[in-house]
Amino acid sequence: MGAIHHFIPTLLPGDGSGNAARAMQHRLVELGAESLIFVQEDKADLGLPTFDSYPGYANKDDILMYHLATSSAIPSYLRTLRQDVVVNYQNLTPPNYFRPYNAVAAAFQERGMAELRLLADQAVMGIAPSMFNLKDMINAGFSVVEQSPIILDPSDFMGAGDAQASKMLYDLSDKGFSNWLFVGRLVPNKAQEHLIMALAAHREIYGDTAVLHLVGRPTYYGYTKALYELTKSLDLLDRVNFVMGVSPAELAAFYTMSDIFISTSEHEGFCMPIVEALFHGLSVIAYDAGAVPETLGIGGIHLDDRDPITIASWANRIMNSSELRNNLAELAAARTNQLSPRSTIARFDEVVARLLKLTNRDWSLDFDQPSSLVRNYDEFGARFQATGQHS
Amino acid sequence: MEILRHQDPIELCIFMPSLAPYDAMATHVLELKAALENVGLSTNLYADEIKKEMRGEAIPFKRFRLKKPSRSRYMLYQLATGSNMVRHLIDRVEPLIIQYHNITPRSEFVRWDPGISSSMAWGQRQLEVLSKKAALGLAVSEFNARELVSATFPKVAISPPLIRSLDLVDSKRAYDVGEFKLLFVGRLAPNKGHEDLIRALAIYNGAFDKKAHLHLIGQTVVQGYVDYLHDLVVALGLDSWVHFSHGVSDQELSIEFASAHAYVSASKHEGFGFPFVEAMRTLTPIVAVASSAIPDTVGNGAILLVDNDPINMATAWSMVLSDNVLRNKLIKNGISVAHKWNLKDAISANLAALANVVPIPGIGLAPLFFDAGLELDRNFGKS
Amino acid sequence: MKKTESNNSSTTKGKVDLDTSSERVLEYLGQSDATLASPDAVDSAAAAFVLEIQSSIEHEVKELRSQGKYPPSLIARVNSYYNSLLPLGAASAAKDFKEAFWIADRVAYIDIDVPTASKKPGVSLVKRILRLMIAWYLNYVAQQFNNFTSNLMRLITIIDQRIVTLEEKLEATDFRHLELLDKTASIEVLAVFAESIGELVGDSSGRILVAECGTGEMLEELRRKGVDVYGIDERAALLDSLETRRFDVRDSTTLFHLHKLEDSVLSGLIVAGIVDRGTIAERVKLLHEAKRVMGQGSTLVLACSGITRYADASNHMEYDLSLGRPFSPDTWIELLKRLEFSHVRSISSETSDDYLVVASNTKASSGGLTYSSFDEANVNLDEAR
Repeated sequence: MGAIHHFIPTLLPGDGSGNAARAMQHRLVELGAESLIFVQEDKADLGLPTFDSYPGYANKDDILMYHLATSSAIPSYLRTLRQDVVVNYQNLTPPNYFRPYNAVAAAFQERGMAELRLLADQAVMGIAPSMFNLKDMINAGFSVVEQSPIILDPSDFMGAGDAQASKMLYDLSDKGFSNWLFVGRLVPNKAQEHLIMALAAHREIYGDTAVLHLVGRPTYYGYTKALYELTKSLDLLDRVNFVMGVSPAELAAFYTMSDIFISTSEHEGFCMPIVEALFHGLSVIAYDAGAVPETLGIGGIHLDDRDPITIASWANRIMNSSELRNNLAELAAARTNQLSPRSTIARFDEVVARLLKLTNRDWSLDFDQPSSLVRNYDEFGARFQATGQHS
Repeated sequence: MEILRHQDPIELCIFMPSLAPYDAMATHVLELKAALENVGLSTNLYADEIKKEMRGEAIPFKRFRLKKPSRSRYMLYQLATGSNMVRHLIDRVEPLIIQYHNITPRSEFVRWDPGISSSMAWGQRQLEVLSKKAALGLAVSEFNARELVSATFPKVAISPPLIRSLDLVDSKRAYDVGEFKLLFVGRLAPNKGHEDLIRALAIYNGAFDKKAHLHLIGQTVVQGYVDYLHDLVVALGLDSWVHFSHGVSDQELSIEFASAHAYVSASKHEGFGFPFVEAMRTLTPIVAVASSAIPDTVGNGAILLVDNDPINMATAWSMVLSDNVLRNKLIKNGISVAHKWNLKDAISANLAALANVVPIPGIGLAPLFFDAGLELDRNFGKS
Repeated sequence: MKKTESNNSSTTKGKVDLDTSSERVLEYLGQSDATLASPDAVDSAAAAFVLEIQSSIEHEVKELRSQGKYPPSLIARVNSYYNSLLPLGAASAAKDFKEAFWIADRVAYIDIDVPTASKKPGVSLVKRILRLMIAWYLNYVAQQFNNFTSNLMRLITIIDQRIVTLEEKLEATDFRHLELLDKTASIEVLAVFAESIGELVGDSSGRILVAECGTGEMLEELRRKGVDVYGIDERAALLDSLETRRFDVRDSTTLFHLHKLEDSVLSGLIVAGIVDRGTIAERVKLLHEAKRVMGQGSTLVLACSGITRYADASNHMEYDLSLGRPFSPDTWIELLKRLEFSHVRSISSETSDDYLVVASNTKASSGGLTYSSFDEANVNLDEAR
């Protein structure tokens, strides 16, 4: 019997696409399949094999799943192999977002698009976390595509919140500020400038009662500088918190202690932070673009434009109505349930079964095997509910 | 073992499809070869087609094909068009470096001459094939470097072209009595935008009292395009104002530059643009449409137009021809920009770029313009 | 494990604190400034010089135009040669299409009948045997290629059919008749209203466009009020004479010119002619484009002919050659309201039955900040340093 191996350019703890690959690998092993992760470069020294060492593990019946989220050397390597290839398209950002800030990075994204088209010829199936991405895959020439939402592993962000960060956020609440949160790298497609403008509108209309936390690594000098300049010109430097990178514990503190999660992103392939925010019962306001409407579902408020006044007034209404907040928390819980590992793993199992049928593999995988991810989630969920009620 | 390899002299083989006289790429390659020999590398130049005048300069490529592989050999391929050399080079085991002089996009040619356009498509295809095999891509401009990145080269470095300057001649500016001379040097191919120069000349001469001659120097590439240019000149009544010439010697070219009042360009695609540097060096102010690599090459040594609008172009010409303050400022800027491309610095930059792969004694590494490994770092990482 | 981690982070004091946010950003920007290579920071003085010259060219063009250096008739003549002489497929290509198509079709098929003749003895036989031996291979390649090109040719044929259909439709609507008419009713309508329009838009600070400016009464009035005004028309003779009167005028049709403009660049727009003679589609398109190119709060004025002009014999040719029925003021008002213009109203003349429709542009808030304005912020910061 062959194996279902994973190929991914790099795997770092806490990175979205790496987590998704790890969860899939985890489940495949539970099903009784052999499954390894191969990387282009083992940057975090996790002891993972590199992709060019694959011949040492190869079996002609193997199915190779490539996780595409950036350009890498792996697609052209896969071209040289005869094994069946599956592509999990986690998302690329259209190059025009980066062009004004870094033409080289834009060219790199273009390369990624070209690799997706290249793989379309070869792959037996395409997988993506959202319908939005599936459309890209179909346009790139994939003929068989399946949606498989990202499997949520709450252990990534459910640790105890960092004490100092929690205190900082608590103190802000205590002084009468509401904490607005967005999690995501500082990149042009996430359009954080709209959040800053909404905060400015909020202060104009409803008074100086909100603080915005932008949790995410800076990526492009020009864009980061522009955000900073905008904040400065709106006189909001002491109300916008540029958190330039966090530990898991600090991230957990931000999710636990914030009031509202707001996204004005223009292009997302799935948007995991929204799911994480829903999981923590935050009120979520999001601009409907990319895969965001699919991911948010019934869990929060959808906006069809990013008028700062609209965003500010929603935030104000949420903060002033405990009834609305409770309703949103209930919707968030309902949506979290829909996206819980119980259903996403069931969906992933279906996709695996379909894949085996498509490639005529008669492997006996044990699809009845319960998943430890589901168990973890239930436990974490229960603990979270308990602490939630406690506070 | 180490000692043995150390004693093996490093051999660098340079490949180019065709070696012809009066060709910027030939100049570049010969200068590079001399520079590499200067730092003690054994260097050979191989060409598939060697023009009569260049016979002593290169070895026929077929002789290389029989050579046994060697651990101390490195290959440097000069890419500007598709060629039959590529399929042999990618089969070799020696490390391969590509120096990219640009391929004009097919779209500029396809409506004029599909035959020529398919040879460009061939070059484009080979660029992608080579990217899988090449250890390093060298680009003569940032513009080219970005194209190499898109073509999936893993590492890219900048290596300016080696330009052998024309002799400076002291020639009087022609037509001193009440007429100007404008110059453009470039092959007669549709990507060079000659028609936009002719159109702007019609408007310029229609609008201003002191009229201008336009001298266009370059070989015919696409006959249909040349026919069109001649028809356009006749239709606009510019017969005695537009002058075509080709096959000029270096000395004649020096005189053309020395006698021009301005160097004008509407070219839509240049991989680097040698004549621009020549114009700046000969104190000829430049008015050019800002396309492809031109802004990188001329910096602030030229008036850059945003598009081919004939009225803006004619106006910019008249400003350069009549406003002495502006003219002197452009000339002054031009001198320092031209100096940036001087042969000595360009040679050092080329050697340093090559040193990223080829061990050249005493040469430090040039920083890479692009490194796929670093770009991966940027794309992954925690939020 | 978790514990030590959180302890660690609490020792690096204030790593995520609001109070230290600015410090973190400035530290990052400082580092990047030093470490990031030149691409971002290409000599900014050089870039400023290039921009400065570009804007001085614009200024010079405006000046030369007003001196009549660039008569629109000259530009039109030069451009017509420029376009009409382009060969095969490059410009007005309908007649060349067939030829190009047949050439493509001829070369789109490859055969495997490699010539085997040779001057050297015996070589011909060798070539024939070789051909025989690799025929299976060549056949396979040639079949795939020919299959591909046949499909491509079919695709091109279909595209051609669709374009021809489209061209026929366009010919029915795109009839440039204005060149035939020296005098149009719109010229008189603008003259009637010149003064009242001047009062409506006279205090604008930005650029105002008079579309179909005719003999220039409207331009004259607005220039007298010190407004930055320019006009467009299609009649070369009228344009030349306006240029010698030092007006800034261009040769263009109204819709084409509006289409070329950037968003929100006009502070006022006065339109005549097309409002009387355009098709319904053109008139609706006009309003959409006006919405786009006009700034927030700027004024749109439509100068329309009254019904008696249609009966006037001197205008018969103009209206005979026009495509649409005239709109009544109510129709204009309804359309403008639907497009979310505000203060929509009509004004009638005391001396004729001509009328104006006036509206103020409102822009839906789009969030405002575009990426280009970010770039400006960057440049400004550079200057500040």
